Amino acid sequence: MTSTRSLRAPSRSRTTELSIGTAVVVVAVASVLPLFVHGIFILGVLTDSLVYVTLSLSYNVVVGYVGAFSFAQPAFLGVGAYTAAILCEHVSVSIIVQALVAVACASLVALAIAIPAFRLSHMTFAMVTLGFTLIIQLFVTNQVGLTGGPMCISGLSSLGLAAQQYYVFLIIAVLVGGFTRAIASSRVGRAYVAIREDEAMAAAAGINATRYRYSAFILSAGIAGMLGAFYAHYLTVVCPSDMNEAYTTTLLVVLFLGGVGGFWGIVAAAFIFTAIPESLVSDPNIQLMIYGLALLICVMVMPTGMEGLVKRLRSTLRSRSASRA
Amino acid sequence: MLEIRNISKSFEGVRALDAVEFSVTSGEFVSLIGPNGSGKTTLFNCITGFLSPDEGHVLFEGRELVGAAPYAISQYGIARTFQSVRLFGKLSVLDNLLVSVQEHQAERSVARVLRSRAVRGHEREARRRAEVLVDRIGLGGFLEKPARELSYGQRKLLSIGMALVAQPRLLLLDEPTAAVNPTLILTISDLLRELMAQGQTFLVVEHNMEFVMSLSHRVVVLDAGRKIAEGSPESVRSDARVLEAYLGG
Amino acid sequence: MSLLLSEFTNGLVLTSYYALVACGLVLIFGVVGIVNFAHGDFVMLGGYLFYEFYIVLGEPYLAALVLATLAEGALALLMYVLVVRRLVSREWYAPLIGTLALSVLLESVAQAIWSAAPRSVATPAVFHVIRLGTAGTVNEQEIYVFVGTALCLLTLWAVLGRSKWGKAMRAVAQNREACAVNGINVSAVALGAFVAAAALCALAAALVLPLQLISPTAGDAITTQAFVVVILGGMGSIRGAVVASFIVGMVTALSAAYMSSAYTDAFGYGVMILMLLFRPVGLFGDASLRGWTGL
Repeated sequence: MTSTRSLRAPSRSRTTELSIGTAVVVVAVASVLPLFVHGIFILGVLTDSLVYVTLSLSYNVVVGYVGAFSFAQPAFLGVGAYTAAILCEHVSVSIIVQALVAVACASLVALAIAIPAFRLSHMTFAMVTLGFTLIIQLFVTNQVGLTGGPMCISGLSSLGLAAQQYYVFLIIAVLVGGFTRAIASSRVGRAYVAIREDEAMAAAAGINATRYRYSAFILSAGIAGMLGAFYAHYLTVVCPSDMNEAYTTTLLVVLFLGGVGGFWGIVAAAFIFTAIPESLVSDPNIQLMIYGLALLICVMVMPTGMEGLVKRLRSTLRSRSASRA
Repeated sequence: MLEIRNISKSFEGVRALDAVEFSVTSGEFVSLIGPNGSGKTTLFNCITGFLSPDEGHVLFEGRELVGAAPYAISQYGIARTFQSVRLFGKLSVLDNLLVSVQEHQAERSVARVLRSRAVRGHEREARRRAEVLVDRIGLGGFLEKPARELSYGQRKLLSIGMALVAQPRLLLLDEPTAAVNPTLILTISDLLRELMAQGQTFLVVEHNMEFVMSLSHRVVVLDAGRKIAEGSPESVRSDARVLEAYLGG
Repeated sequence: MSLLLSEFTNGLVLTSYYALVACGLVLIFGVVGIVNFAHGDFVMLGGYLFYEFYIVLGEPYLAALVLATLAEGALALLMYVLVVRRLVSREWYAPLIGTLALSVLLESVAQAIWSAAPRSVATPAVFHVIRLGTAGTVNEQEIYVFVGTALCLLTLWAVLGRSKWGKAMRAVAQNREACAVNGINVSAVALGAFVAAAALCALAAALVLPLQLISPTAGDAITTQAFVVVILGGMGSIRGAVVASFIVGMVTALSAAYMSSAYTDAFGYGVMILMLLFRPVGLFGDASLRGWTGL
């Protein structure tokens, strides 16, 4: 499911160097893209992709690192977005402050969810996150005085021009990407691998699995909350439908197609899944059918996703060239 | 150092442990022997928090262990191995050791990730300790190898290494020589002897009598959950009840 | 007075609905060993199959019910062989996310075939209102629900307790490895349980859905409610599922009458969350199906 390589000790291995190199190239290309790309529409699609990349990477912390299936990621995004929107309605604060408050709110909600959710097993975890997501949705839809209910909160200030919005989300994506990557290759990342592989042995080695799970879940929520605050100003409108648990399916497809627990595979998959869908298939139901099928096939046949395939290809090529040499 | 007082544990009416009582003093090598099913591993699980005894207390340097979580007990300074060799197959040999070491180095979580200078210092120290230990257990050439690719004997050594690298005050080994070839048994004996000379305290479950007799200061014998004998290896070896337990069955 | 009776009747209908569905979920969880996120969609599918036989083909009610159940069983067999079998005993995410993907697939295919608009599968029995003196009314379909559910549960009890297959299922639920070693064909038993569970879903649909409407997305709500019931009752316990169905069914019906309907759903989740906080194993928490036959 996950590869040793992406979750190793901080050693100067070739893979780490390759990864840093790739990162530099990708970020450089992404930074100068707006200069060459003309058209607000394309920039918009790219910005959407960046949002998805960030959300997927934050979700990866729960699904990939902890190894748990949560329905709540869209809810945390929504909590962040609504926090920012409601804050804007009452006080005038900078977006950074809004983001910080959003992180705090999302984290608190995550803590509340974590307590019953991690009680029994993966299944109850999924159900509790689903239950809370539905409760939050109900709350938001019905507390019309606070959230505008189904009529949404609108009129939020925009982040700026298309290019400016692109750069905001690029910076966020790079920061989040760097951070989650740093976690994976640190001792914390190692602990997650240990917990997933043999929790009893991990406990015997001194790992407090519960604390690691809680912190990963809360971290993932915090990132989504922060993203939500900026997302609110990107859309300038926040609606209850933005936190629909159905988005979980798309996130799962991105994670599993890309390779759960990995990194670049997920980034690539997130781009593919934002850029392609609308252009190819217009009927949202057919889109959903394709997602369902893709996810099912991934889970059954290709759990390591694209990243896993690439790695297997590389090691086959390497051993082939080695035997030839 | 370790006091086991009146520990009892039943599973669905079967008395796995019955009022077991003994202690281990600092620097001692105590072996726990007995026929299969006499409750040795159950006792280990009670000591290390994987099972809750129905009655009794386990005191480690005055501190009550019953009711504590396994990770906490590990952090108090007790390390153990498992009968079925458990390690993290996906991680490299080095990483397996680092997992144990680093959980015993206290640091703030965010600092861990952001790798502040203090944390990087700890990491270097951890790697150094791991690398020294790896050489000591004889797996020096396999640092980067994924643990699942090791042979059985190498995995046995690694699991002992993982327990050692955390520098525990008490080391619990569950059948360290089971299914191990004679050469490796010697390697393990020598390793344990070296550690004993440095004052390491051991509580070891074993079936290999030669191993037990040659290394132990004291031997405790369990049969059907009860302690039936305790004393020096020689006295236990000739104890009629012990002989009966093993032969009578 | 008549208000209370109608609440009670609604509550019993819900109880029956949840009981059949939840028992299926417990069977799948215990015997197949996976969590089935597509469970509610089995009900939805059963409903549409019933629709095809009853409304489109015009079969009489009982025939349509039986045919729908058989058709669903056949589809379940196919699903097991093609998909579910490969999700068992694998990494943690395989059954969870695999069945979720199956759920999405079933819903979108159903929507493609039958469109998203809710349909009615009402039978004449729904309109045969029976007066119960001054207490109120009940309709004939509701009677079918109660009788049908009672029959099903009794059959389930008998099968689990007395039949060879039932004993095999209970044995597998308790200890898979031991069963395999003792010559029980675990895969076949699991297949049987899966198909039986799907059949229960189809029955539930054919009995209860005439009182409601079917739509492709109706499955999600049922899945969630079924999980709430099973968590409340205890994951491996049939007895727990039945008792919990009663609790959840009654509470839902009563709260729907006295509270805004938006929050009644939240009630169920709240109960589930509280249960996990204070007694995670559920009311009859048991890792096997033993609990049922001890009734």
